[in-house]
Order: sequence, then structure tokens, then C-alpha cells
Amino acid sequence: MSLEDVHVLFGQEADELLTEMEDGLLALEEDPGNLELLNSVFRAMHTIKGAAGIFGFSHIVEFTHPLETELDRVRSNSRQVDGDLIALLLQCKDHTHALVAAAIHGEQPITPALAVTSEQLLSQLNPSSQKSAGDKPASAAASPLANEMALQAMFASDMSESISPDENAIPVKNKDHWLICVDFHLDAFRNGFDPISFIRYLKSMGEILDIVALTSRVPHLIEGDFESCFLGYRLAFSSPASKQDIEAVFEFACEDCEISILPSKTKVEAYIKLLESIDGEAQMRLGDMLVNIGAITPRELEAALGKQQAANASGQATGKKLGELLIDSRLVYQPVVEEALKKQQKVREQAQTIRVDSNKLGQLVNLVGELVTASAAMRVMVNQHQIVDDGDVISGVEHLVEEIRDHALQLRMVQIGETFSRFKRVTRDVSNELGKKIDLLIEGGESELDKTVVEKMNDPLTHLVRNALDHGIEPPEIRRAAGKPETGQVTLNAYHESGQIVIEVIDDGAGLNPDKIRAKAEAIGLVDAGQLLSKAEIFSLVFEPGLSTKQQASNLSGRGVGMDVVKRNIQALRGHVELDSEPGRGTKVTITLPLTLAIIDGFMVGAANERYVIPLSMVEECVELSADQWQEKSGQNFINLRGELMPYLRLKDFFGSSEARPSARESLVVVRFGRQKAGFVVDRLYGEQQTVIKPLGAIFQHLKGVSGATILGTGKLALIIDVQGLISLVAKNNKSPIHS
Amino acid sequence: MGLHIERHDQTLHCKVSEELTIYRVNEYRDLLVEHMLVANEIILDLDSVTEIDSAGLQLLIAIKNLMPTHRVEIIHHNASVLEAIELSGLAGRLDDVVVIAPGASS
Repeated sequence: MSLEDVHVLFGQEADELLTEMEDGLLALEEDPGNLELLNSVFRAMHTIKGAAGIFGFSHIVEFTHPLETELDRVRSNSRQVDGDLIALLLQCKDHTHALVAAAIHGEQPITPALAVTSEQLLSQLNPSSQKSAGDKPASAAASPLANEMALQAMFASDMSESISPDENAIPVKNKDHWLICVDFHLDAFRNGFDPISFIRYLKSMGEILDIVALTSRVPHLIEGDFESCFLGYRLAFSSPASKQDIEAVFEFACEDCEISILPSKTKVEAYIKLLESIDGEAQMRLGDMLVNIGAITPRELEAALGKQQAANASGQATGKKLGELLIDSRLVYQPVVEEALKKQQKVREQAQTIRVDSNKLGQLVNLVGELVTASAAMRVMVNQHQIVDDGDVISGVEHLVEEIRDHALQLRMVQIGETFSRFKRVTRDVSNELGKKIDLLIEGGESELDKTVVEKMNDPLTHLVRNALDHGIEPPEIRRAAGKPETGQVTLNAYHESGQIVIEVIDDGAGLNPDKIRAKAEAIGLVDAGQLLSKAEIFSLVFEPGLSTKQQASNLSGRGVGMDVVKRNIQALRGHVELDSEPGRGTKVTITLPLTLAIIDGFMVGAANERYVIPLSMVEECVELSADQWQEKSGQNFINLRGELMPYLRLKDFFGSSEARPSARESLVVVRFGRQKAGFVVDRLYGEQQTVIKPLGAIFQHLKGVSGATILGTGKLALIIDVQGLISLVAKNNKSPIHS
Repeated sequence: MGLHIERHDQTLHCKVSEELTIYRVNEYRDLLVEHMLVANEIILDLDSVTEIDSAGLQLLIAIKNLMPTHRVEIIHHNASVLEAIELSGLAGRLDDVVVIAPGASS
């Protein structure tokens, strides 16, 4: 690995850390008291500083060290977290990013502009130490040796810092105790258990700091049966013994009493430390993890799991999670469970990540595409030569190819949540800038789609979100006047639907006025004055070039990306975009995208002598209809299928095959996209076919109704039908006779 | 007879001379209940208790709980009784005269 590679790696790591830091800061703004968030911010800074030190990027160290010191002050409560500080820290984060970028590109020493920004930010961060901070770089610049020494001193002080908290963490002896709660059942005495003997035994294991007997259940002398046990005990017990050892004391009586053994506060801290130190490699279940660190005992875990199962079996709708159960039955404290869950999440992420050059993945997917084509060719060959007993072998290979394909594509799938969460910062900045109050709500962030699609969606999404923030959400006063909550809400939502992913950008702002759009469209000659347009059609005009209802351009808009570009970008991904709005209520932009760009499951049909592929996920059903069953009237391309009226298209006619219509039976393939249905009339059905999508050349870029082509096993081409595009095309054609 | 009861006017002088354990508690209870209705004071002497367990302690608690209808005084805790009371965290509930008792027993 060359030095350059290492630098790139440093850059990637720094990027991740800074993103983490930004997330942490934004979350911290919501929840200023959260120590864990603060720690993650601190850790990010600390790690970057450390790494930069190793690579000798001294200017990064010089900037991040005071920053870290400041964060440490916040951590030790000598500085308050407030909006200003967060804003400043966000700027610092951005600046660190710039510094890292400069360092990786070998710009050392850094440009004066960056240096000035460094100093400015630092002095803002800590005005009192401005002088000393200003002094340091000056002397450092004077002599490289001094620079190095200063660095060493920084690290030295850092090490002593990291030691001291540990010293404080050594628990005060008296506080380090167990809290044991034992409530005996009525039959405990009769079964031969005497609480005194347990207590006596406990005493041999450690020191009983305090004991309280609960006697409230003891009945009146006249009424009571004193062979029954009515006692309960609460003990504070100091002992080096583990939870399991203590539990073992009560092992024989476990049928006759309820025990819970709770660790003290210091024990909780110890558990959390233990959790942190668990090796990151192995993925563990929550229960195992808690048993491992001794927070619960195997018996407790078993009991809790049993309870959980019983609850599930009895069909309770609200099945509790293991963690909740454990907390409810007072076996562990909440912080321990939370930490364990966090750790689990972390381990899961670590265990699942491996860095691979995305080009390599691209190559793999291409090869898999070839493999799919080749296996189709093999199938054709086998069919032609009628080889006997081929079934098993061929279908085995095909099955494997299919699985390889799925897995290869899965490799490129990434969750959209990361892209979504970038808009948190945008939202924050924009709302501050415009004096609006806006919440960004993210839903369905775990939906996955192809990495290339995600990347290409970045710009259109940014534009849509900015639009919603800038033009959609009104200022607080106006919202209040309109009877809406002051804080506007922008929602980013993603979900899967029939093999596609749907992304929605929703705001509860002012909405769009269809009349205004129409007026503007007429003014620039997009539509004729008298033309009848549905609401959806009017809103679709928004995506036409040159149409903007903006009253005034703010500095947020006018970045050269209009709604028409948004639409073009999305169409380039074989996606569709729709807009719906209600004046005063808000706007919703719905983007529908294919999950992947490379390979799909297709449904192959034949019309005339050509073959076409319809994405299988959109095919709802196939109906065979004989010629006399067509209820076709000229100019009305609708078919009545079991009482449902849907538009249909005869592929043969549409693609202009000259062949005369055969009297043979034709088939209707019913497709669905969203809530709409439509039918394609074809001559023949060939069935499922793995389809490697080959993009059509640049010449066909504006071709509507066809999204690509694929090479068949025979070497022939088949066109892949863009269902939604084709249907809207048909709808348009249908309309024209009505108007004329 | 593990529990010996003598009545002087309204006062019951009770003395446990055998074990004060689960095997005897209900028997003692019956005996006490029989006498207590005509008394308003119970003095319980534990000096001769040979063995005590949690059931016995429980009985002591129940007797103590008779207050305020009866004045209850438990006296002459011997060493084994004291240990049991201490272990069970009942000090302060059953040994209000303990301050005197150690002096008496030692």
C-alpha cells in the first residue's frame, strides 16, 4: 500500500468520523444532556487528531487539538451546550473536512485562507485562549523542531488526561454493593427453607451492609398459620462474588421465592465498561451478551425467555422484547440493556462491513450479466438439440446463476437512510437562514436500492428538499395565522412497491396553486388557453422547462437545477416523478425508481416476430382471449376485464409491425404500477426470463416506452418495455381524438 | 409443654422453654390465643429458647403486632435469639429491651 493509498484511507475514515460527528451534533442539539452523543462527537475529533498526527498533518492536529480540549470542557460540564456552540462546532466540522481534503491532496503547508479560517474558528471557540492559540502556530512555523515538540507535548498531555478518569472510576468501596430482593412464597418454611440460613450463608461470602425484613404480610396472631412464610428481605450486600454466585446461594429455594439481584450504580458502570470491551468480532444475542458480562444469570435469562414465549404463545399482540422484559422484572437496569443493544448494533455494523472498490463490484455485476445471457444461450442450445436427461443439470445451473445474480446485485444495494440523513443538516441550515421552524422526518431509511441509483438521486433529492424547505414551508407567523403548528414538517419517505422503490418528499407547507401554474404555462405557450387539463396534468407541468412559479428567487434556489432537470435525472434512471399538492395543505412529490439498473426478472412476450420483455414485478396476470371476445370500438382503447375497465395497447400495432392481424388467439398481459392497471395485447407468451438490461445508445435517449434492450440466448434482441412510459403515451394518444 | 403461661390479673407471663420453630409455632399460637382474650399485657421470656427459626421470628412479630390492644414486652433474649433477630434485620422490631438483655444474658 503506497503512502497515497494510506492517505486516501485516512480521508475516507475522516469522512465517516465527521459524518458521525455531524449526526452527533445535530442530535445533541435536540438532546443537549446526552453524554453518549457528546462522547461520540469527542471520539470523532479525538480519532481524527490521532490519525492526522500519525501522518504528520500538523495543521489538522493544531486545529483539532484545541477543538478537542473545548469538547472535553463541555464533557466535564464547564461549558454549556447551546445552539451557538453547536453551530460553531458544525462549522469546525466543515473546516476539518476542508483541512483533511487539503491534506490528502498534498497541499502542505495549507493555503492562507484555510489557516485564517482555522484561527478564526478557534478564537470563536475559546476567546480567552485566543492569544496562546495564536502564539502556537507562529512559533511552530518558525521552527519545525518546535512544531514537533509541541505535538509531542500535546499527545503527552492527552495521555495523562486519559489516565485520570480511570483513576476516578475506581469505585468507592462502600458504594459497590448488590441489592438483593427476596420474597419467599407461603410454603417456603414447609419445604424446609429457613431464610435465616440463607442470610447466614450470604454473610460468609461478603458483608451484609444493611438488611430490612418485610413483615407487612404477617397476619394477625389469631388468624395466622405460622407454618406459612410471610417474609421478604431486602439486602445490601457487598461482595466480590458475581451475580451468578449470589444466585447460587438461593438455588435450592428458587422454587419457593422470588429473587432479584440488582447491581449498584457502580456495578452498572462496570457492566457498561465490560460491554464496551467485548470483542467486536462475534455477533451475539442480547441475552448471551448480558449473561457474558454477568449482568444476568443464565437462569434469569431462561426464565425471561420462557415468559416471552408464553406471551407469544398466548397470542398477545404486544409481545415484549427481551430487554424490556428483563427491565420489567427488575433483573437489570435500563442503562445496561441500552448499552448492550447499542453494542449489538455496532457489532452488527462492524461485522457486516467490508470496503470494496465499487468498480470491482461493477465488474462483477457485468460478468454476472454475461453469465445470465450465456446460460440463456445454453438453454436455447439444449432445447434445439433435444438432449435427454438434461433437466436437472440445466435447471441446477440456472438456479445457481439466479442466486449469484441476486447476491451480486445485493452487494450494490445500500440503504437510502444515509442519503436521507444528509438532509438533516440542510434542513437545519435552511431553517436557520430563513427563520423558519422545520422538522425533518425520515421514514423507511432502511429501504435499499442500487448504489449508483442512490448516488444519482442525490441532486434531484437535494433540489426537491430545498424546494420544500424554501418554497413549501411558510414562515412561522404565516403558519400560525393559517392555524397550522409553527413548526413545519418535511417528510422523506421510502418504501418498496412491486419491485420498485418509491421515494416521497412531503411537506405540510403552502402547497401549489394549480391556477397559477396553468396561467404561467399558458403564458409561455406550454398549453393552449381552452385546453382541458386534469389536476394531475396541471401539476405535471411543473416539471416542464421554463416553468417556475417562484415569486422571488432566494439564494437557495437558482442553483441551476430546475424541476425539469429533476425530472430528466429521474427518467435517466428509468424512474418517474409525480407531484400532488393541495393549496394550504402541502405538497407531495413521489418518485418511483427501479431497484436496480442492471438485471431484472422479465416476462417475455412476443408480438408479430419481435420479442418484448415486461418487468415481471409489474405483471399482474395473463388472460387468454379469443378474437371474438374483444370489445373494441374505434377510438376507445379500453377493455372490460371482469367488470374492470382498463386501457390496453396492442404491442404489434404500436411498434408498427406490418403483419396482418392473425385470427389466432391473442393474450392480454395485465400490468400494474402503483394504483393503475393496464393491459398489453400480445401474440405469444414465453414466460419468465432473466433479463440483463443493456442501455440503448445515445440516439434513442428520448425514445419513449422502451427502457432498454436485452440480448436473448439466441443472440437476438428484445426490447424492454417501460410500462409506465408506454401507458402514459397511450393515454395521450387516446386523448387527442377527444379534443379534435 | 414448650410454652408455659401464667396469668397474674391482666398480665400473661409466658416463657418458651423449648424450640421456637415451625414445628411448634401453631401450637404456641393456639395456647396464647386461648389466654390472651382475658389479658391486656403479655410478657414473653425467651431466655430458655433452645432453637429459633424464621417461623419463630414470624410468630414473635405477630405477637408484637398485638399492640396496642395488648402491651407486649419480650424479655431475656438469649444469644441464639439475638443472632437470629440480628441476621433477619429485625433489630428494633423485636428487641426493644435488648439494651438490657445483653447485660442479663452475659
